[in-house]
Amino acid sequence: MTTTSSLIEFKEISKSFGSKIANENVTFSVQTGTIHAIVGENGAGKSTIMKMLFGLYEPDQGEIFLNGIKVQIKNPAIAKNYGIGMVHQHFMLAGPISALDHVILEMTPESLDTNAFLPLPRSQIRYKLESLASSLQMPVDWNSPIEKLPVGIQQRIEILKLLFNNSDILILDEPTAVLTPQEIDEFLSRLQKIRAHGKTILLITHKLKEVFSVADTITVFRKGQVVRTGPVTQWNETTLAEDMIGEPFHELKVSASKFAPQSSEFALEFKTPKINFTLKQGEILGVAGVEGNGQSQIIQQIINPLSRPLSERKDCEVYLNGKLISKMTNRDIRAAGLGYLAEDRHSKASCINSSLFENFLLGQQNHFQKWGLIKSKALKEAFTEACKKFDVQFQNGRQMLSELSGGNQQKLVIARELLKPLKALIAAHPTRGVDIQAIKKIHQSFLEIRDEGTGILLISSELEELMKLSDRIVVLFRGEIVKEFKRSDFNDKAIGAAMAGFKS
Amino acid sequence: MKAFFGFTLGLALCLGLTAFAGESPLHILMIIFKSAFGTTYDLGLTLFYATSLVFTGLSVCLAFHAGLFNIGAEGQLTVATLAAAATGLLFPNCPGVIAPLLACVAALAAGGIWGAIPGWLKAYRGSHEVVVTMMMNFIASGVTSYFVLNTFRSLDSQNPETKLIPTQFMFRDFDFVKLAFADSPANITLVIAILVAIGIWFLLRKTVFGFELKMTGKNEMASELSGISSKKIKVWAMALSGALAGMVALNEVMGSSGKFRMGFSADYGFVGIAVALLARNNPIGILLSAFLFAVLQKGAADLDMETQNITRDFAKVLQAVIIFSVVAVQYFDFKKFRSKFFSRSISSKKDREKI
Repeated sequence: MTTTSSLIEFKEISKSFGSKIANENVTFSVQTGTIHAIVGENGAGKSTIMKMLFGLYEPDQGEIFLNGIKVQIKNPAIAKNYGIGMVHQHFMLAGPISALDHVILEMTPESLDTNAFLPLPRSQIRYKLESLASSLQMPVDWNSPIEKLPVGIQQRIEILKLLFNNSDILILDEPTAVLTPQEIDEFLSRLQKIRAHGKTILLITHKLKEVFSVADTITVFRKGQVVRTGPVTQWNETTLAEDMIGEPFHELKVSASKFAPQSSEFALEFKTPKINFTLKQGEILGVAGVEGNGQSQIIQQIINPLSRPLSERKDCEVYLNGKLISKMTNRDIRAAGLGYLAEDRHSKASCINSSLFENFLLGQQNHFQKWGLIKSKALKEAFTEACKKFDVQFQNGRQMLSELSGGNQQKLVIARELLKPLKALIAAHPTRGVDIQAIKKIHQSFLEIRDEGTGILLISSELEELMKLSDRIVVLFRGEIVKEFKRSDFNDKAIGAAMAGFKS
Repeated sequence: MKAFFGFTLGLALCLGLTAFAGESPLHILMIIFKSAFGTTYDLGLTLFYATSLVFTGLSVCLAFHAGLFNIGAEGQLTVATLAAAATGLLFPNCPGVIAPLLACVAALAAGGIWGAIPGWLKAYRGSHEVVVTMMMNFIASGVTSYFVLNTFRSLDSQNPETKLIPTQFMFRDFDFVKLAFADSPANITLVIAILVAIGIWFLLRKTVFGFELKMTGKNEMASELSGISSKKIKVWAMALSGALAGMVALNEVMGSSGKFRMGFSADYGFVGIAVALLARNNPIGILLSAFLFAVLQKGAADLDMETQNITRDFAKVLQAVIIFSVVAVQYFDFKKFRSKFFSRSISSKKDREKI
């Protein structure tokens, strides 16, 4: 009862899973009506502490206070009674049910103000919802089935659902991971509106820019412990990054390509009726654009996922280092020197329930064989070396890929793809869901192979990443290239306008 | 360890059931044991069953690793067995040295083709392999019936079976297993089965083909994008799976009877699914689980005669209960169980220490 102003207080909370310590002696407090950012690298324990607040886990030791009163939150139902709501990273929404029904599903019989034998006061609920939504400027089409709505709107529904059920504390787990740059800006301004209504928001994230644009206070986690907690003014971007990773952080320096082409061949030449571009050797070509504007079509014309009939690639010509590859099988395309970092590493680039060795070998098996037998010794050596080079954290090569964090999984996949020299590399969202240090490592490796002459087609939704690495950027809009920028003309406003379809 | 515990649990449950039927569980156990191991002849017969089950188990297991469910082993082995018998009957003057080899090749090819057809349809036409292999079972049984009854029918026998193949086709001169088990049908194919199981283990573990097969089974999209020709792998996996099922012909025709008898298979193809399941698709484990199922099958055969209330169908109940309990035990978390039921006593002990 010492401080009446802090809404939530965590006191010396510890939690471990088996031998792995997820949280150790975590102590910090959150004030009413603030946006409190919980930041840290992947696996730093920020989700665990929030799940304890929401009643998904119980702490091994320590206490949680709400408004100065000690509480035991044993399950999410209790959390809801205390007015705590959580939006998970992967939404818990059911496909064909309408948005309105989703909100009704969450309501308690008392708040519905009816009993089981009376018809639901739907129009009344809807009226209340609409007034809430319009006061926050978060319009939603309440009648359409949820699966037909875009991800950004689904997230809106999740948040409105919590607010409508009188949640005062909102826990948002990596809310911007699924949003496009434009949606992120809108989303952050909405958070400020929600704060103005007196709600408290706990924002789990590892994106520094978001933290500085909306948060009032920050708690930094590292290896399960709180490194520092306090008002946002204590940090700037560099010091916050240093607190997160625990050592001085240096921005990656990007210099111009050192590669001098021996021949005039293009690394990749892409010719279709609608999209034409070329990728030089030793060049990084950025592809900007809001997702769904033709990025996946480009990739599918170059390397095809399963059973796409050749007829679909009829009027499309793709040359890899002067060789026509659009009529080849994937096996031959790969052998010709194409690397591919898929946008979704779990479904397209790795196998979550296979060992690290097997994942490392996938696609490289012909380099580690003799008479059809796998040379396990050579494989182990190459594996150890590559993991060292890319700083992949693992216990041993036989453990399952699923046991690694997302960043380490991605680094392993990249280490594998870059094992032998490539003519061209397609990198689709290579740093999605990966933490700061891993991103730096990945970018560094791209620059290295660029200097050795590999052409890289970098497809990303992060404009910052594109502008940092690319030599040129082309902008996709509605399946066409609308604009091309040289490095000297890079300008986020102009590129952003082109992404939105404005022609200047 | 867990599998063994599950097996014991299943057996105990089942024997408990027999008590309800008014028979002494111990008596039932004795009958099964005696029937399976009682004499050299009995043991030989058990091993004979086990040999066939090893092949069908491996067949199902290999397809499983490629992400395919082959329930057509029954049809594949039927076709292969007829092919082996037909080879003997069509080339009676074949020299003795290559005769058994020729019959083996015919059996493997027939089984392989019968497996490759659903594999091809799955890979290039998208037809589901479960449906296609099941239909291929019926086609196999129809086609073999036709040939047995119209082309190769033995006129000396009352039963629908082919004539005997010439003796040079049989594994006779060098068959030391046969000598050890006197008159029983056990034969050198047992040794072949063990070697093949080790071979499949090696294939899956150490070879590039095995690796590509496993990865195709685990994540087809990622395999295809990384440059594995997943469609070809699927066809080959099914062909190999069919050929493995077809090896039952070695045991049946060249090893023991010397002819194709209609209905010779004691559901080997279907029991093979259970064999693979119990062994969790481990080729070496299949050797053990095949033997186990053979013991149950052979052991239950005498239940009809020796007891009043239990029939031989009991073997099937026993198999089913054992599979259920092995799988259930596999997913049972002992640690959680212990902490849930014993944590109270532990914590109270701690409290006492504090005081």
